[in-house]
Amino acid sequence: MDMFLQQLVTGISIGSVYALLAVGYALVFSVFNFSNFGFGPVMMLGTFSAFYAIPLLHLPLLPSILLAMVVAGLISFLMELTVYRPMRKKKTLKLYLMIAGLGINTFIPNAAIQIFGGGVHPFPSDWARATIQLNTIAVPRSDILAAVLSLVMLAALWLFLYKTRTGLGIRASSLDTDTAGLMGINVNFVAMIVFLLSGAAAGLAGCFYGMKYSVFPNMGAIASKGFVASTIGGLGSLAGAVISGLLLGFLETMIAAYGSSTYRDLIAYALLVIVLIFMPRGILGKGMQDKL
Amino acid sequence: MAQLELKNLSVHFGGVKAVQNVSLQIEKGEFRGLIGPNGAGKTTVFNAVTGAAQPTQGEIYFEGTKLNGMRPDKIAHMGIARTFQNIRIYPKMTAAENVAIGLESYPSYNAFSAMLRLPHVVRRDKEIKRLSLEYLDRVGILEYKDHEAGALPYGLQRKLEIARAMAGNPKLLFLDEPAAGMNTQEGLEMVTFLKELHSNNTDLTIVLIEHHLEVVMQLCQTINVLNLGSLLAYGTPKEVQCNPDVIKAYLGERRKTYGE
Amino acid sequence: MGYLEGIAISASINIVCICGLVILTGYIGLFSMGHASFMCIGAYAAAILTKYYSFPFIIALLIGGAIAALSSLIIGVPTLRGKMSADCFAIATLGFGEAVRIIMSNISHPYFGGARGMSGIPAYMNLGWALALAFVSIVLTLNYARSQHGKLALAIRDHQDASELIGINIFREKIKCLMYSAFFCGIGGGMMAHYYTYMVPNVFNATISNNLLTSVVLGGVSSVTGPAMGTAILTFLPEVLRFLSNWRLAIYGLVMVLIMRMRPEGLLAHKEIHQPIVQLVRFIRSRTVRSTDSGRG
Repeated sequence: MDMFLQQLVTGISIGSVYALLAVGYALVFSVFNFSNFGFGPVMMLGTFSAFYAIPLLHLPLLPSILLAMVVAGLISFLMELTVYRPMRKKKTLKLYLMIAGLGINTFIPNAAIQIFGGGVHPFPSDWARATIQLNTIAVPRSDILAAVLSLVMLAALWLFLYKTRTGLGIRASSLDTDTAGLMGINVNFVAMIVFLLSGAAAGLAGCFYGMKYSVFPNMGAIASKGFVASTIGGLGSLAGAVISGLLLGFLETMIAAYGSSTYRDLIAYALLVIVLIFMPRGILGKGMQDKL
Repeated sequence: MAQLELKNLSVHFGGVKAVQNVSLQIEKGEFRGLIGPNGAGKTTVFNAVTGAAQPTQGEIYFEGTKLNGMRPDKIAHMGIARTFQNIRIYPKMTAAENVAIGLESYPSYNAFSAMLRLPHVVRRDKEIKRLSLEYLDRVGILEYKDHEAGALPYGLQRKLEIARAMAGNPKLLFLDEPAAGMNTQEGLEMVTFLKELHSNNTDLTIVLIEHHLEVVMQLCQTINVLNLGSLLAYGTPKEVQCNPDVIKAYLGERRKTYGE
Repeated sequence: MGYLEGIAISASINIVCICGLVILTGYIGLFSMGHASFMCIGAYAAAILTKYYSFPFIIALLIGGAIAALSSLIIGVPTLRGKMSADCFAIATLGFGEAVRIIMSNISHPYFGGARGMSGIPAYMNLGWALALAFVSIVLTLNYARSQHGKLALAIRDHQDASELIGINIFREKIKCLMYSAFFCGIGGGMMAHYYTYMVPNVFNATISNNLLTSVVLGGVSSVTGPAMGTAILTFLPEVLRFLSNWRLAIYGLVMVLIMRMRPEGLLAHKEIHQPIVQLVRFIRSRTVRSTDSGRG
């Protein structure tokens, strides 16, 4: 029983990392109908900013996490500004947007290896590494922090999308970007908010991932699991992203703990294939159709 | 038995009732008009028949076969072709290649023969080319055969779409606002062109969606009027024009003329 | 000489793989993050056949390609049904790539050798074979691309929903393109195995898949010879620019972004290298025919 509880805590904390990443993908997809394959580097750079800020600026943990979110958000927006927006203006095929994202995903981590070095480092926070004794199990503080802050972030996101005017504009754009543009919603402004928010989610997720495992230039590869989660949840669906992110984290941890850990990294993809066979649009996906 | 029969067709998208309980019958060789103000559900009727949208309720029969739930490409191969309100030509292909897609949407030779370019592949490709040019000629744009389709003027793109649709040798042709975005001169040309198309293919059933009443009145033998997803009226152009309900539905709208 | 020969063989192997990916990415508009897995499957299949069953080289390569093509159905069937978006397909290929690598590393059967891989594969591959196979692949792919199969693929890339209403069976065409690409990658993998004579599963990683994609993107969509040239350039260039070798992957990524940003259709979009030559020959022929005609007249 203790082992199960221990694993459950681990599952929830890694699940909340996946959920945050999946929400980041879903936000962009819901408005622009393409997946930002350059999302991994956003998370990595955000985490590195916290990684350097803590020892260099002597920032405490929470402000440095906030810094990671801000940096990641800005980088995500910069990507939109320099790559995606000009391409969208030219009305290029979605395929090209995704390949550009993939290019970013190759460029930034490999450049980062040259700049930061290829080493694998622990996240520089002793506070996060310490454990708390809860009844019979020892829970790392970072796990609790991950669960709590993810929840706060997701709740804030929900309030923003459903209770504010800007949020309404974003939701309108996600139904129909072209018409929203015609109805006086500033699509570029929506894009800015969406990319900032999804970047911030990535920065937050990156810090938790760094605390749980380590900080290294290729850590962005984990974002592909977030993408799997957002696909399972249904591309563009925020609720689906959260549910399937948590589900994925839970399944991965449980199967690795009670079954074999050799195939741990394949669980996500196996789940993806199974879900797509039975639910081609994911758990809560929106249908997409060309307007004929 | 009618060639195309819709029985109590309803198409809903979420809460939006795009088409509501529409029943109609179209006979072989007819030239039918489908008119109505914006958002009346005309294109949705086309989409439902051609398989692009799933009916929420009701049945669609084509020559006695139920089309509900059938894959769109299969419906097309039963002999239903269409054009699109927002033009959907292949911009990077030549006009002739565009027609060739409609002509042979299921390839007649297999992939291995294609890789080896066996003699029968060469022969068939030549045949496809020849037939494509024939269809281009029939809509009068043969001289543009090697032009990139995306670079053609709007009116010619519309004609190219019709040529591509005709190349599938359809029994039933849906035309979705073929005169949209044209000026008066081009619109009149399109009317003449469609008249000829119908008189040259007497077995072909044509269903025309059109916003311009003038076009429909000149071309169609009978007209269905849709409003807010439901059938409002049915009759000859004259009857429809005098129908008070139709006038009322259209009065809400600014009367549109060519060139707007 | 041996050095240049080595590069030429590597370039030829890449060209064979690219021929498959051209159809998948440049034609039907899907892109893969895991086609190295098909190289891996083709490599193992061919190597086992030649090493343990003494199959003739070319037969083993073809069977390897065929097995790779069949295995592509595992991701193709669930992700290409129901007009699902290209995103699903891309992420599934990434997963498939990982899966093949991990499974191959954990097969305990002595033929496979687990993570230590296979060695002692017959060294059948030489420059002659490499160039011949690359040439044949280019010709076959050019034929395929100009056939109705290639045209239908292009149609789907441009307007998927409309194409289906026109009568194209989207699922079948996509599966066909996927199998085509997997087949050629399988052959390329087999060539690689018989060139290096040893291999470990970890060679077939996401970096290889990414490099293949970069070549296609660089060379141009709806072109076969463009990407073939692209991959030849990307094979030779790192040898010339050795001082940049640490930055190679970063530069590949940057090139990909810049091409998408500036000229998304690539260097030779909708064109083939030999087209000007063919036109020139036609032109000269028409001139000479006319001159002999006038001579007779």
